[in-house]
Amino acid sequence: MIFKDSSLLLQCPKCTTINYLDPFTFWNFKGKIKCAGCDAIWEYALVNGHRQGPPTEGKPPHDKLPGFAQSTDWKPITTPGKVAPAPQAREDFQGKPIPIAKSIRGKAVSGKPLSAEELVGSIPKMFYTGI
Amino acid sequence: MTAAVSKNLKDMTFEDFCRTVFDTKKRYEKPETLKGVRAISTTQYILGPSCANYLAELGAETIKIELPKRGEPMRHTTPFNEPFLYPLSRWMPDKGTGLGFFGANANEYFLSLDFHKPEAIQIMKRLAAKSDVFAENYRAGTFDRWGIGARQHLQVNPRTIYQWMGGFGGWGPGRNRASYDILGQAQGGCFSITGWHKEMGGMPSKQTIWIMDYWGGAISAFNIIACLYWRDNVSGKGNFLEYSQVHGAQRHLTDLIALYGKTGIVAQRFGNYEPLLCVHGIVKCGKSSYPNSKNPQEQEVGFCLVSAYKDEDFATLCKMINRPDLAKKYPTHADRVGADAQVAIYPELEKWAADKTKEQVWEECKKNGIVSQPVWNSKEVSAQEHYHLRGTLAWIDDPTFGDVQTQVHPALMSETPPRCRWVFKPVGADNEYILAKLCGYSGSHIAELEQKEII
Repeated sequence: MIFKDSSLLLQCPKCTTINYLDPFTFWNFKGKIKCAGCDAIWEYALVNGHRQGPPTEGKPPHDKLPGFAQSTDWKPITTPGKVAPAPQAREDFQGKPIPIAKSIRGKAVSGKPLSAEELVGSIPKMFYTGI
Repeated sequence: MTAAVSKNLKDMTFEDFCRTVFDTKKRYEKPETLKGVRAISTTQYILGPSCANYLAELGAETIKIELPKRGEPMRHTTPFNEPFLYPLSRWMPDKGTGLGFFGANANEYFLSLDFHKPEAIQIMKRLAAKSDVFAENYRAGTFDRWGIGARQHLQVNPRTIYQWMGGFGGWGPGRNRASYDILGQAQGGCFSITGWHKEMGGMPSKQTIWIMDYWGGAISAFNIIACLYWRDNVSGKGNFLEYSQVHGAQRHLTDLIALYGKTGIVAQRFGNYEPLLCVHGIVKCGKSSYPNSKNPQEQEVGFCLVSAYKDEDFATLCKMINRPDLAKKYPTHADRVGADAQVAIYPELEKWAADKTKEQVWEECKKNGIVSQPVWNSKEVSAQEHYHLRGTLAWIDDPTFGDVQTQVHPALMSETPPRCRWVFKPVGADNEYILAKLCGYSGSHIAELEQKEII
């Protein structure tokens, strides 16, 4: 599989690693990208997601890392330092539940995991026990 | 207010009259439009649930039926897959329901039923016998196969309004295909006209909100209410309704279908410009309104809608940006509306706005009497007094979950205002209430159903 003419898939001319350039970061870009497979530096430019020419070899340091990469036999490369972390909307967002007990205006909200005991007073209990 | 307008109201200014009769603080004291209508909703995701939600906001007793314990997929299909409100159900208090469930499940009663069990089918038939509306969005024909489809329901209760919602409909070449909002937008032609012109990158753009789902839910609710009218005032008969998402999407193509039919012209994307008017689009402003924010979405530069397509407004706009020569070069609508002219005019506006925030551009436009509006984000929308005052955006003291901000039905009604009583409830929260009230089951019988995992 050859991606040599693709815009947002930068296939390393040296080691053939497929570097995925995420549109969020690279849609309009001009600078140096480090290959996640062999650390080669490639100068590359994109305008509205379209590449302006094939990559040309550059010198360190790089400007950006690809968002994700795979070898030609589809082994993923996710090592930090080789690929960039996913772009995040907020610094504190980690893709995990953020338990809260107060809304942004400071009032109580049921925003954290509960235990069975904390359901006391719920409709089902009232129904069964009459309390 | 009564049919005869009181003297007090008669003497008010129109603004005070509106403020008085639409007073959102009094909406919980007033009657509800659909009070007395009972709707069963076996729906999931957004299209079907939003239909049931609209009925519930108008006062219908709406009972949502989900699979036991974990409920419907939308509870777990939130942005970022992050739970927000706990408990998910009494069986899973440590799990939660995600943000995506908001806005499509308000005011409903929540019953859990496992349709794979014959006893659950019997319960469904009992509920159908006592309900006015039945809404579902399983793949077409599934409920028919299970013995609880339109044919069977109308046999049990000939007055049932049976609303099916889905991608393509129960017949026709696409009937076996499933659909999502995004597929509806793609097949209905909406994407083809939204996004960038080929000279600007060419990529179509999706509408990020689930607009085809919410629109489909609204039109389905509208049709149900029309059928209730026909049943109760004309025929006494029920109805079987199909709403197909792809048809709903193509209904949005406005004049473009007629344009193609007449001339063979295929409408193209034109980005944030307007093919029929100029200036009537979104202008990039060079400065961020929140340059020191830690949130990258706030750090971005602002955008502002500017509308000055009448000749005199355009001349004012040109004067405002210190480019009166543009008004001389493009004095009439015909001079401006072409693509070449628009491509020349908008960059000049953006050059002028390059050292301004969207608020500064808005302020200048207002001073000069030009229609404009900064492109607001959800934080800015949440802060708007206009929405909170008129009650279409509200902090609700939810009986189960506490303090949450949510949208409310956007229409105001003087006599029978829509309202949000609760944003939603845990899975199966009303099992006992519904099964006792509508099926006459005892507490021990319901406990047995729960033990057998039927509910």
